[in-house]
Amino acid sequence: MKNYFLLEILTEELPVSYIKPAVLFLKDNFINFLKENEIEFNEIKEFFTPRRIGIFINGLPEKRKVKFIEIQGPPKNIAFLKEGILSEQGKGFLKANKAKEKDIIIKKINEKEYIFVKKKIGGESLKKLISQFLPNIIRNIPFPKRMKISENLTFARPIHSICLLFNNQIIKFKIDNIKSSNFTYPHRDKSFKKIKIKNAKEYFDILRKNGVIALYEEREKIFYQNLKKILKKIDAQIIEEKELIFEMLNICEYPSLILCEFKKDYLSLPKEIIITGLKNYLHSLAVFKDNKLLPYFIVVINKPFLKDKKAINEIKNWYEKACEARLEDAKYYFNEDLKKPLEELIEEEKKVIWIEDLGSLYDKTERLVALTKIIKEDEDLKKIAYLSKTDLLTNMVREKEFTSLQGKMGGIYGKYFNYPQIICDALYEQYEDLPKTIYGAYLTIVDRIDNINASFIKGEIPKGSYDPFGLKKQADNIINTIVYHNLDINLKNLINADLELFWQLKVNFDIEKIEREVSSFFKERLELYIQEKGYSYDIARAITKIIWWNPKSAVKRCEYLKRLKAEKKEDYEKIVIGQKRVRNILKEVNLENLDINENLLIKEEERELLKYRKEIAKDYEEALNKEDYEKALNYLLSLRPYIDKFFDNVFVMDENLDIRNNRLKILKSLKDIFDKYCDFSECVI
Amino acid sequence: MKKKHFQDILLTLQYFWSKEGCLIYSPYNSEVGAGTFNPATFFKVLDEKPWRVCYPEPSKRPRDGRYCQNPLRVQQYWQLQVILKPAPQNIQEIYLKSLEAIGINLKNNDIKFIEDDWESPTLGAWGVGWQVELNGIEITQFTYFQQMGGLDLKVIPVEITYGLERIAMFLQGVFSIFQIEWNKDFTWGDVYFQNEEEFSFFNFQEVLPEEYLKLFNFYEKEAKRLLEKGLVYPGYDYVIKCSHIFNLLEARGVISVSERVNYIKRVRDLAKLAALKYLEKTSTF
Repeated sequence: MKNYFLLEILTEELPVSYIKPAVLFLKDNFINFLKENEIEFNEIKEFFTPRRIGIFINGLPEKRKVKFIEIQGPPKNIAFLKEGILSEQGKGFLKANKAKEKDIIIKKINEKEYIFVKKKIGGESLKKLISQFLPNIIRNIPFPKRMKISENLTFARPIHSICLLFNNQIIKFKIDNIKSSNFTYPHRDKSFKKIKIKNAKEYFDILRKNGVIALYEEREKIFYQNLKKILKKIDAQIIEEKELIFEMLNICEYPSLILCEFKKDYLSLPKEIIITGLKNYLHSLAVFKDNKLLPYFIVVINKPFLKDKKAINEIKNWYEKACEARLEDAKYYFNEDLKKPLEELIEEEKKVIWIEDLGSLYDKTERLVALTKIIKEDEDLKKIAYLSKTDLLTNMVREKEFTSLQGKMGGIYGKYFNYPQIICDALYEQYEDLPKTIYGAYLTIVDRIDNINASFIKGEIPKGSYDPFGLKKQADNIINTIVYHNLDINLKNLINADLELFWQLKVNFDIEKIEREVSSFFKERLELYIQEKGYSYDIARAITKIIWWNPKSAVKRCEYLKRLKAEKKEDYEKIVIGQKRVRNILKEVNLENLDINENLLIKEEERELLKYRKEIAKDYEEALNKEDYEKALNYLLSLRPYIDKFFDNVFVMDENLDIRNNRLKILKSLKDIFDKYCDFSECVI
Repeated sequence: MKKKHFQDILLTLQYFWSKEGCLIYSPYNSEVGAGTFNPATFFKVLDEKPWRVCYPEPSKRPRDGRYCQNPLRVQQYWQLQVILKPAPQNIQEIYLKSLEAIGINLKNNDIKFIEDDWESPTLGAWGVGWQVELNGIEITQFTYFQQMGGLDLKVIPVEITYGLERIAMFLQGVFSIFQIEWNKDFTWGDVYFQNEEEFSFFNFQEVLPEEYLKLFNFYEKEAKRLLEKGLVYPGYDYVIKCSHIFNLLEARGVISVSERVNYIKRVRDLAKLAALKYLEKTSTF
């Protein structure tokens, strides 16, 4: 079937970050729509430029397939009053399905007779189906921010035309005042007048001739060919930055590249500043040779038809002047900032609100100092914590285009102020997902814990895909950093100490509630983290339930538990079954105290079990503390014969209440010792 | 081609927009930070009646002064403000043609509309739109207003704000605001050098913190008093004054970051009140 379908929504320039989610939303909805209607097709592709988003499909049928289905109605004896006379229910069923009495068939299900009607579905033309389905989809395209187009329509930017074609025919539909059509607009350098698309299949060709490359992959190809030539000419490289290149390719409908230069003097500025300035002010790429920055940059211009060298040179001159103005500003900020060591900014933090109602930036800094002290008492670490937020007050980071340099600027200025390397590194990498230095890791862990606590106090709790402050990612980074660096960190202590400090600020919140919520949030994240490492969900749960606050230990325990399961399956299952049983018995029981009365131990098996348990308790715990989990599990396994004998010979629910309770206490003590490793009853066998 | 003087650009653009049906208006007779503060924008976009206006607005940004030491930063520069309500469908095209009218060849220059959603926390206003970049230099702010004075707008206007100095530098091929030729006899520097230098001193060093704080409080009170009485235009004058005093105090460095939020909110509350009172009154006329 050689049918072609085209949807193009032509708008005024869309924000770069809006384009892809919008077009993928359209595509997903089209795919679902085609699936639901059992419509086959060869290929569906999305296309987009700053001014247009759309979908192209080929290989669609003209009509939806015709199909007969049988719809089940009420039992025959209810549908008919007597033979040949329909009841109200029977009539209602026919009416609801737009069927007539002659369409009724009778079928037996489980010996009972029901009425059915045969119904024809499908056969509608695709044009009709699409024109019905499309308006709502277009209205519901998700945009982070919308504008009012009219009383009844909001969108990211004004819509100018909607080209909607099935081969050479317009699929008629209307959204607000915009009617579908068979025209679009060319690149603005070509003309402001509309052009006709005679047939959907000619769309990409017509646009190409009119200065527009509608397919992203094609723009990308042109871009890289261009780039390669330029880089070869000056024998240099770029650092692939996907996000920037995506931006460059989506602020133009046709990408041409120009190589520009800036004055060598600016190379005395830290390279991070130049790269960020080029990126954020001029949407342009920095150029390197052997990792050293060169005084060049590459800009993208939206000029499909411009060949005049003189004009291109003029454009280049202006970009270079724009660049110089920006670098001059950056240099000004940089030199201003160097006049004041970072320590002097700590005091100024007092005047800066960190989060409304949650104190100043200085309060935050003090919390970070206190928390890092819990991890390790060390002068350098203390200084790191004190300096960690000072760069937020520098001229550079306060400038909108350079805020992304937060942290990095602390490290860079630190070097100029001759702070030890260990301090500079930690400051520099504090916002990275996975800091490479240990002190950097400590800082990011406490900083992120503090962020998470603050958000929970504010009631900003992630739910489903709602996570505006990226708390999930922050928690995941904490966990990963701890595991990667093999750090002994007790999250629970840090979270509680931090909440305590918020409390001292006289922030009004239910400290126990927040503690519970943050803990279960971390538990959840760790569980997922462990699963992503390739462990099954039940093992992840069994472990995190017991030791969520120590990710490093949790991951190791998983490994040994997994091994046990694989290597000693029978033992593993026995333990799990045993622990499930114990848990069940104890579920309904309320023990007043846990002191086992030795005088009530009547049976030998009780005494033996208890004796052995006591014997290994200390060594077992020592093994756990030393993270010798193989040994720890072996101690648990060695309990088995005693436990088996106990259950075989001792009846727990003795008639004598004292004896019964004493035995329940033995079980409880058993459960406790197993629980020190994990909650085996969560494991699935 | 004959060199475009600063005043030619201004006159050409005004002529261009007058042909688009704009009322050619004047700058406001009070210190403002942007053309948006002019009642011809602030009040006139609130109601549903059509409105087209074009006016220049020398805008004061006390913090941007550099004692004439930086060729690209000054504490007062010229905006040309255009408001079209409702926004015409082909407004981008009209705008581009206005650039052509002042001698910018569209085909030989790289012009991009780059996302930049404008907002003014002091005016309780926001919109969506772009900054227009000409060969990497921002020359225009282009905004579809959505809210003004904290009120949702029923009819969406477009605001086009040209940075006249930036455009003049481009057209004249100079790289310093001070060297812009105003007409054949005078440069921008001839007109403003002394002004810039003195205002830099004033803004950064001579604003009297305590006295100006008192002024802010007084103007705030006065704005409320007049607005409550239904004297909308006189009341709004004091809202503008509050905003300007706040800008001066900020440049003087006497407003901490935390206080800043608070001051902005106080001005915004006044702006909201002014907007409400304006609508109340115009709907009863």
